Amino acid sequence: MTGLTGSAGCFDAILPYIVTILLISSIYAIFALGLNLEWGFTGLLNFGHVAFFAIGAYTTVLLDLWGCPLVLSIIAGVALAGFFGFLLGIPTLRLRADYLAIVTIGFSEVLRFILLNEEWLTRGPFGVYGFERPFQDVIPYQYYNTFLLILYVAILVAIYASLERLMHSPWGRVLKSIREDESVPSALGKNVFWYKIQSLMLGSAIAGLAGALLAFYLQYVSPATFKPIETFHAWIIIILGGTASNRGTIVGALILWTFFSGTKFISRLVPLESHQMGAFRMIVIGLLLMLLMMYKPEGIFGKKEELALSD
Amino acid sequence: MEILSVKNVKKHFGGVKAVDGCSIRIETGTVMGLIGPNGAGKTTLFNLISGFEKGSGEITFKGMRTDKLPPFKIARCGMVRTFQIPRALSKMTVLENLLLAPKAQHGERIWNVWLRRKSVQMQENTIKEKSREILEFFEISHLEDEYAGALSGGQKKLLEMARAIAIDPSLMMLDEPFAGVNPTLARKITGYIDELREGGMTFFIIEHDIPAITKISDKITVMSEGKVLTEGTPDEIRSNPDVLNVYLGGEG
Amino acid sequence: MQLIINGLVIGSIIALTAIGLSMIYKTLNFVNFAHGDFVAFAAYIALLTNVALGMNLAVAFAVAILATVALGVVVEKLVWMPMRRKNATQTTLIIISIGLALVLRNILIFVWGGDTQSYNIPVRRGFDFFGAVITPNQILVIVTAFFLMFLLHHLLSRTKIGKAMRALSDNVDLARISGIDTDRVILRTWVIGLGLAAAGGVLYGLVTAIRPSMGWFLLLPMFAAVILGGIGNPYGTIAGGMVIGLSQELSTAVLPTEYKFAVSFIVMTIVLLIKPEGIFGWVR
Repeated sequence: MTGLTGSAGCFDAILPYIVTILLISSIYAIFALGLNLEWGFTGLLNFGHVAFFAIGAYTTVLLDLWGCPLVLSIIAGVALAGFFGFLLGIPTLRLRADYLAIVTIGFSEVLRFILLNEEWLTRGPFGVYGFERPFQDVIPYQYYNTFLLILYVAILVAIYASLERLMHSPWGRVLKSIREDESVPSALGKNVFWYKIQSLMLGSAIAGLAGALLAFYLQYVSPATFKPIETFHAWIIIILGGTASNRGTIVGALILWTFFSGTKFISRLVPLESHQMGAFRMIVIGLLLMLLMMYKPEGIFGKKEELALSD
Repeated sequence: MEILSVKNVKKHFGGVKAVDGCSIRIETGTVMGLIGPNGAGKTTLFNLISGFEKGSGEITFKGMRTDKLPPFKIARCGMVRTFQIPRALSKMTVLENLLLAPKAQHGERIWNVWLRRKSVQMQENTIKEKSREILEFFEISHLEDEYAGALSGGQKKLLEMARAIAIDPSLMMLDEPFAGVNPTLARKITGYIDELREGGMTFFIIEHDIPAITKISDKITVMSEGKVLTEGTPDEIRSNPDVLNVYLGGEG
Repeated sequence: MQLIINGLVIGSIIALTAIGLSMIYKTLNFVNFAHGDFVAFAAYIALLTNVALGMNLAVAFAVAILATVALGVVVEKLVWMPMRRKNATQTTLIIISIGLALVLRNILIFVWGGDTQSYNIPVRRGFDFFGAVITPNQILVIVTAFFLMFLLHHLLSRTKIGKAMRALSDNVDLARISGIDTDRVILRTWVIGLGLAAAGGVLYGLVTAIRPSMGWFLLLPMFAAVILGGIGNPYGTIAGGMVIGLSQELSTAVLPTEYKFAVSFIVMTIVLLIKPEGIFGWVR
């Protein structure tokens, strides 16, 4: 995040800052919408969502650097993220809910080790940069972030609308029934396992797309971009906004990143070292996650009647 | 013609022989009752037939072997079951509970939600109409938009039966439809079952309420300790001293 | 040979820490993602007692166990017990445990920073052991771990509370019906499970560097041990821990050391695919 110089109040200085907050919020909103499909609507515990974020980002930028057209690179990134969702679903989705959590969290860490160590493929800890950005030759540099923002908001709206349509379709109805008690759809002839796989694949593919968008925004990806904590950013966004509410997810992303930017301001005022500030932010996130689940599991926009969190 | 045939089905949990070599045949369009003391293995037998548990032996439904199939495939063949404790989807509305049931909905395939929007919408309307008819049949139309979690125990039983009907089954397996239901509602349920049977549906019903089950059944199977003790018409069962013995806690 | 020794050392630590995870998993029916961070917490308390307060390591060991157990009891009273009363689902509890994990780990980073540290103990030369080197610390780890496992075995098989704990993790409903005070047994399960985890954490600090993420990196091997051993089966978990420790170290003969962590992931996934109820079910 760049752009903040001098004192607030000066419009020219504050505008780029707002643009970056909105940009990062829209990327994380898309990322979290994928998880909301899995957790909010299907009840799947994915604790390794960041892995699909990383797969989307890395696939896109590496293919681009190898000379693949940008659009195809993005599609490949999305598809590969979805495919890995499928692979992880196979051993876990027939079993208890927590096995998926354990396997996905393990997968996201193993993937990060691969990104760090397989330098021939991923360029290791130094990361990847110098890849193409969409329409970079057409849009003047000073307007580029504004252009990205418009593009990303358009994509966010499209994904939001598609998910809403899906959730109000018979397909979404089956997912919701699985979330509540999967023996019922089973007894009614629905292939529960296959629906869960679909949900995980689609959610992962959406995360893959978000990964590509993140890469274009940062102009740089490295293993450190995809630490496990990113998964829990998505979780807190969903639970804050309201589980199973797509609208809430978008608002949650906005709140989270405004909060993060706010703590950057505060960090200039309090005598804390940078690692302490980072840790403090994580303590707040963790506490918020606990307290929300304990006292307000429906978040801001969720419907209490529709939350399947206690028997 | 027989719709369901169970041959020498067994299921052991560790050392406990929950179902120990059961054989039962059910004729199309009849009502078969299943009685027996607690722990006789009735619900386990239901679980085996509907595929929720796997054991040994042969189960044939409409001429097809189903004992190796997963529950959802068995349900698609036209066999539906209810649960002892009704499993209404409490976070969904009553109508949504019913809309879930019908087979082969176009809109259940993810691509069709976009590619065949019209046919999905049309089918959805047809299903809604049919679901409302079923709700009317069970006289719970007024509850259509309630969350199922807000219903009373008896209403949940009706909802679960209604949802089972909505999949348009040829065999309905009911696990204790009269348990915890007041006498008025019980009489109504008897009426519904009679009416549906007139329409050609086959029933297989677990029940503890002996007077109720003898009234609606064509035949009754008695289970004890995982085995079929005897089978016969309600009159034969009533006059069978062995049955009485089992219920009074004899060795069986 | 060196790899086998290292594997046994790490394996006994994984086994020790994973027992608590397994018992809690079965008894409370949820997987506690904060378990690894309790392990790290114990190592840091030992560090505090040993380095900052200048006590010897045996004292630090005891203080760390007491402090970790105390923390666990506070969390049980403030979080898990109220949530049980509310009939929270398994998934709710898991998400809360992840939040707790973040809080604990970042408190460690906040106070001690993210750098690696070690106890203030004299560095002693290792012994030659069939061509491999085994350090006194490694011997200490293995001996202590096996002693504690032996104590646990005694507790589970001989004492009344141990039998109640096993009954509860075998079948919660049955245990409740037969008049066991579940809250009390659950509390003791926490005490024993976290006590063992804390002991494992202090020992782990003896053979590797102490850093806030040490518990996090132990989490996946612990899960693998639990799944291998069959959830809720302490003896299976011990066997699972040993297998995971050995296979992690032996893997370095063919794979880069960075992929040690991946070994437990792969073992776990394979077990889930072929025998999800665990492969050490017969170890009772």
